[in-house]
Parts: sequence; structure tokens; C-alpha cells
Amino acid sequence: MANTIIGTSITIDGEITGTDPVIVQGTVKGRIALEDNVYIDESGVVEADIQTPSVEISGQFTGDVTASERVELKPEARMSGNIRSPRILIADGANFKGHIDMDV
Amino acid sequence: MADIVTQIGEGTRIAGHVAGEEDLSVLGAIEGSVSLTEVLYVEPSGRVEATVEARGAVIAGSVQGSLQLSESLVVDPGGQVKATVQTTTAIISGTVVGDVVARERLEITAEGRLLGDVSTARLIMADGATLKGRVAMAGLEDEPMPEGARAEATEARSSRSRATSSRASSRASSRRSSSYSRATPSIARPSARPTTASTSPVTATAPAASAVTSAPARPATSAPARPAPTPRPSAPSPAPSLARATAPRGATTTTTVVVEEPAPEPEPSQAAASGLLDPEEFADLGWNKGRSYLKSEDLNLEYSNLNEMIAAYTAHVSSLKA
Repeated sequence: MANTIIGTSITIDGEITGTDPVIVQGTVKGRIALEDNVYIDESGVVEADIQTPSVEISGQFTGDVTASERVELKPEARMSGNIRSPRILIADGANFKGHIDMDV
Repeated sequence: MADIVTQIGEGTRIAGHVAGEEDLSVLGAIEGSVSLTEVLYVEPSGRVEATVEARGAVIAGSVQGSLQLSESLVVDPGGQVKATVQTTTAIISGTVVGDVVARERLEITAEGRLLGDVSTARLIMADGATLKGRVAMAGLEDEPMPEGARAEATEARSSRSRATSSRASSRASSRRSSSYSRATPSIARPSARPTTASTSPVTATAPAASAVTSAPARPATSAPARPAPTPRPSAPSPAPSLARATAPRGATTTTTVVVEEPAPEPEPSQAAASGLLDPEEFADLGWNKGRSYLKSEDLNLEYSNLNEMIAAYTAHVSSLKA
């Protein structure tokens, strides 16, 4: 239960680094660099560059993602940016605009 | 939001600005700034190096920077705060290093340690609490003042209190010194009185004695009186000062005293050099006090002429030997 949860009313402007999974329900601007997964919930708004093993997006995301394992866009996801990951899942209903690079 | 939703995990570090309208629990680290409308919880593993603005803060971990809280600060045991704190109430059970302004109430519990200046309306310290710093206890009359003005006011107040305290201490010290000075003469005066009383009879007898000086038998008669000056050396410290003090008084009464006063000092050495008065000679006779009684004032008064006196003594000594 050492997860990091960014609540709906929280705004972070800066850099998030660490070893714990991060769940974003609020707003993050800047950079996220983790050794664990990032979950962007439906209410989450992220304008950042993300570097993690895995990313799951249900909310709104603007920026570049570099994931060493996988990137998943849920049906509610709206994403604008580039994805660079060996495995990419995009669900029906997800909104995506950008480049995909699976050659990692 | 009543329950804590937002938390920064133990392995997470945030550098930047964190803002929000809900409680924030920090198990990891935040560097930068935090502004919340609710409460910041810094858990034992949590570390915050930031300027913090919030409704309240509960700190069991460590905080560095500044805390501006509209309501309350709670520093739990183990909590470490190195920050300037502005709050309405504060309960400190951990360690706080920095100036604290608690507009209404500041409580330091038994485990609490506070190193810094304090400005508050009510200060509660438990037995065992540690506080090092200036304390300014303000009334609530300046409650409606704006934050900045209040800080300035407290600053001004603390500086003023510093000034008044220094003034008070100087006043206290002056009072102390005056009491000392008042005490010392009261000690000095009574001791001065009896000795002046004792010397005054001597001066009174002086004219009579000087009248007898020509008679060689005089030392013999004065011999039993000699033990009288001996107690004087036993109390050596008051004697010289008193002798000095009484000297002017003697000067006003008899002019001869003044003339002879400096004379006795070189006397013994002179006498010893001349070989007329060998101290060992006196020692053999059990007159160990010979020197001291030669110096004593009454002799000065009794013998206006040194040679006369020496002659008298040698005569006396020889008569004793015989």
C-alpha cells in the first residue's frame, strides 16, 4: 500500500521519480520517471513525458511515453503524443494521436 | 474528502510544485513547494523540503523549509521540523528547529523539543518539554492584523522585548550592585567604628604617653599593655585599611601623628640594619611580636623621636637580660 496516488484535486508541476507505482487521478505536468507502473485514471490529466516499465491510460494524456514493457490505452483514454514501447494495447473507444514506435 | 486519497509513496519523490484541495499524505519525498487547502501529513518515512502552505500539518517525518498553516500544526513524536512556522495552534511532540508563530496557542508536550523563537498568545509546556529561544506572548488584540503585518509586529515585539529584557537585566544588575554597595558599607561601617573607637583612646593616651617618653621605665609599664596591639595582626585585613582611614581623622586632632605616620614603615629595617633591634633577640625573649608592635600606631604616638624609642628598647632589653 505504498502506492503513490495523486488525488483528483491535486496538481503537481514538476518531476515525479521513484520506485512505487503511481496512480494519477489529478493533474501532473512535467516528467514522470519510475521503476514501476503508471496508471492514469479517468479523472487524471497528465501533460508530461513518461519513462516507466508500463503505462495504463484511462484519462487524458499529452506527452511522450517510453515504456520498457507495455502501454495500454483504455476505452476512456484520450492521448496526444508519441508512444515508444515493445507492447502496445489500444482499446476500442480510445482516442490517440501521435507516433508509435515498437522497435525498442 | 475525509479519508486520505492522495499519498506520495515511500519510493516516490516529487520535485516541483504540489497543489491541491484535499489531504496529502507523504511517505516519500517532496522538494519544492506545497500548497493545500487541507492537511499535509508527513508520515515517519516522509520527507518534505518545501515551502508549505496548508490548512494544517501533521508531521511524523521530517520537514524543512517553511510552514504556513491557517489552522494547526501537529508534530508527532519522531517528527522533525526545521522550518519557520506560522500557524494558529501548534502541538509539538517531536523536534522543531525554527521560529514559531502560533497565533492562538502553542503546546509543547513532554517529548517535545523546540529550538527557536516563539510568539504566541498561549504557551503550554509540559514537564519534560524543551524550549530554547525567545518567547513573546502576545495578546489576542492583534488578531485581526494581516499575516505579514503580524509577523512584522511579532518581530518588532520580540526585538522590543529583547530591548526591555536587556534593560530589565541591566536594571537588575544595577539594583544588585547597589544592594551590594549598600551591603558592603554596612559591613564596613560597624567594623570601622570599633577600631576608630579603639584607636581614639590610643590617640587620647598619646599625649600622656609622649609625656612619659623621656622616662626609660616607660616601656616596662607599656609591656603589659603590649598584648593589646597583638590582636590587631590577627585581623590583618581591616587593620591597614582602617589605619589609613583613621589617619586623616588623627591628622585633624593631632598634627604629630601625621608627621610620624610614615616613619614606622622604614623603622624596623633601619633598626635591623643598625643592629640595635635584632628581631631574633626579641624572639629569644618570646617577643615575637616585636616587629609588629614596633610598627603599631600607639608607639608612633608614644615616641616622637626614633632614637629615643630605640634607646628605650635597648635599655629595656638589656634590663630583661640582666
